[in-house]
Amino acid sequence: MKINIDKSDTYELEPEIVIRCREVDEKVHKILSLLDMQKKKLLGFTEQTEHVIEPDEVLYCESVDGLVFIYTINQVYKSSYTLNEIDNGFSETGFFRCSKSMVLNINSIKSLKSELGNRIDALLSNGEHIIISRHYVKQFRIVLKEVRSL
Amino acid sequence: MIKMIKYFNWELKNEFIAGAYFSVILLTYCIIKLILGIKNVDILVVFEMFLTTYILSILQRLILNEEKEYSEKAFIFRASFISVISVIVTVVASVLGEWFDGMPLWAAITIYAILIISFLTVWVILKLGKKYDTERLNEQLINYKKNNKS
Repeated sequence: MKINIDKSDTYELEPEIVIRCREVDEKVHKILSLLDMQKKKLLGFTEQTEHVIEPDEVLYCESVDGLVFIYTINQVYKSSYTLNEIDNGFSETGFFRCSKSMVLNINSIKSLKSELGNRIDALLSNGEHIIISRHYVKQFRIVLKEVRSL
Repeated sequence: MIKMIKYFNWELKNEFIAGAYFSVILLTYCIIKLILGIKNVDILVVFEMFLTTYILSILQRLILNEEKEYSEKAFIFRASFISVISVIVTVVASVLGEWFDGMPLWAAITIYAILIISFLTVWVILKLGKKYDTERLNEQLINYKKNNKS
């Protein structure tokens, strides 16, 4: 893949990105996804259609067989992000790694229940239950408290 | 080397749990002896008590492995199993070791009752603790959402 940066004083202030390709393949999707992360928006795919997803709409993101899916109330989108990318890119907007295979949007949690074995059961706004695993509970408690003290 | 450190950590926790159980059982035993007007405790009984509590600690850690994740049902089942097995092991050890030789029946019954009450108390405390933790978590969640929106 070639990367060209064309710099000139005659151009407008806002940078413009043009992707030239024969077809929009996985690599191009990845670039688009990463660019959307800069705008604090996620990019998801259903069949052949691309969707820009607001972080507020997301319930959680799950990795299944190496693919990451974004779950909203009405739709499930395939994505080209890794869970780490989502966790790092959207932690400020309330995304939290709650298990090895899942990133949860804290804002989509309706209520929490402390479980035996130092786990937390999160009830989401769509009625689904997600377990915050023991290894991530400590960090989850810190995240909840940190914002509280702001 | 890592295996050795892991073993030492495991052993250290074992001794800590066994020590806690040992203190409770020995203290109760000494109080009963004092009530009966006996001012000495057989060193062999003390040694047997420590061995028993050490076995209890190992059993507890094997049945309820802290490295593993259990569902709530599995956790309750395993914890109940530990309680039952602990009482059985203590009764068997006390009979074989003749801990209550020459003492009235109520002395043995008191020790067993205290053991059962201790387990029940742990369960009640655990239950109340979870209830309190759930309330606190939900408070923090509300605050998190409030701060995250503003």
